[in-house]
Amino acid sequence: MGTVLVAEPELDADILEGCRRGDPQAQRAVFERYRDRVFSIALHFLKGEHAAAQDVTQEVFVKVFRAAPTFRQDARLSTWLYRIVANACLDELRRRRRVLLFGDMPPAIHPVIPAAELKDPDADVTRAVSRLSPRLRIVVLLRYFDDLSYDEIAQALGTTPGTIASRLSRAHAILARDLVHLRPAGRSSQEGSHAAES
Amino acid sequence: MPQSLDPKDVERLLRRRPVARAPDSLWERIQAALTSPETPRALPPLKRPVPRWLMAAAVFLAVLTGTLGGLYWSYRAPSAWAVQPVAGTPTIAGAALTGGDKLGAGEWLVTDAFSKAALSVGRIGTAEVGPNSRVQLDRGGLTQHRLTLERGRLQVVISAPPRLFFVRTPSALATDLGCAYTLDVDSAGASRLHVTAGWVELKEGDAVSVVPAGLVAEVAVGERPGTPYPPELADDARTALRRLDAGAGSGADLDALLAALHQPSDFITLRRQSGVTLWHLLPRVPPELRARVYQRLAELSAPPAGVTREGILALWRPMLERWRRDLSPMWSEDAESWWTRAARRLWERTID
Repeated sequence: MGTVLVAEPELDADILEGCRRGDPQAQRAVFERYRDRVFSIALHFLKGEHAAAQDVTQEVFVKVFRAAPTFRQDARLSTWLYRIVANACLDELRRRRRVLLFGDMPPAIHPVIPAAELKDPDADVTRAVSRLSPRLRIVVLLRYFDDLSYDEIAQALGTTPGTIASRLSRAHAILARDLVHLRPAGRSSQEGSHAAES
Repeated sequence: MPQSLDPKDVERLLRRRPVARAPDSLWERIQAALTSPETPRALPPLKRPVPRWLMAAAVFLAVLTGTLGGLYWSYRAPSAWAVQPVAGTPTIAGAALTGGDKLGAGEWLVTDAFSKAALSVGRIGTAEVGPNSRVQLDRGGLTQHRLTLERGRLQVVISAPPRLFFVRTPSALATDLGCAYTLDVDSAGASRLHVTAGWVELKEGDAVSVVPAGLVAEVAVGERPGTPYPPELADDARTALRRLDAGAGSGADLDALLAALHQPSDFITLRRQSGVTLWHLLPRVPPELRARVYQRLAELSAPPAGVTREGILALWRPMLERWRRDLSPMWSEDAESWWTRAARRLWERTID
């Protein structure tokens, strides 16, 4: 089986090959390249729980590095990595549901929002995103944190671009309703619509 | 009208989400995890969503199973039927009913001249057993509710799909097609069926009469079920009809019958009731009288396209059936669409 990786625009082919061989320096390069984006997705997906987001980030990179020798020749690292991110986030959510079903509620499942964030527009957006259903939330995060295309998100989630477009559309509609108070001053919703159409 | 944010503003807000900085300590944790003796795991399988066709099939199967289960639960025939005394002292196997009794398969429920009893026909209806009656519960299929009425009277109300309730008498088999009716059996075993709602099929051998609400049909032991007729039919016309049914009628009998059938003042009632009577009569009268029956039936309801006088007089089955459907769309199973009929037959064959 061939082992040549498809080079990322941002990553040198040598780094990917080194990563496949288990070279710590190459692994570190991959980690540095994606650490913040993976952590951010996990953090927002898990509604701001830092500890859980760190666990998920660790799990993602450990899985990536351990399975690097089995990379498919035609696969892109980022696509594969985001698939692992999405699965890890959803797995974490499923694990929590089992905890809720069979045991006590974990203490951090409803994080307390600091008072300083209460009037912060960014905090409003964070809260609105966190209220989306998991399937919509992960699509929004992949789309806007990592600028993935519909095709890339579809590959990461194992579905079709049409499904992704549909989920994004639903997420937009929900967020537009929930964030209406953040509309720029002096513009009505109808004006906004006309502007969008034009 | 609810207001919402402009789509472009939503995108703008989402794109300015700050990227959180992952703690530096993560690298050490990852390195520690990688150097642990844990066996390397294979790539996580791609979590594909369940295909829509599979979900649709699962939903369809669940609905089908639920529906069939619900239908079976609703229409299954119990092995013993609850029976309550209504008047006097009805008995089962010689023992007087005390309330809360059950009639088991093969047992006889007997009433004297002063007693009545009410039978629960599973979950599909009730049957009141009149005075001087003998009724036996027969074994049926999973959903077939079967009684034998040896003599006396049954007043039946059934609310269920057709052909779930049957009453055997010494002279015929009455099959419920969704209805209410009274069935009397005299000491000679002759049956008289009076339908008050819906339809009932009266069958003996290959001979069948389908009796709609408002009409009566009679059958004697060893004879074919009689032509349905309005209960207010005069006695002499009724006698004439019996002779015509038996193939021994004359022109005078037909005159008497046709004159009597013109009695209802309401034309719709006349057409509905007399149409059924005359249609049943067509194959039962001798050829020399059949043209007159045809003529009267055509006056009540003109034959539909494709039905000719010659075809009817020759008793050509497709034409008879077409006219029958035209006379009453609710007449027997032809009233059902092909898929309803197919579903019903499948239901009857698979369940029973």
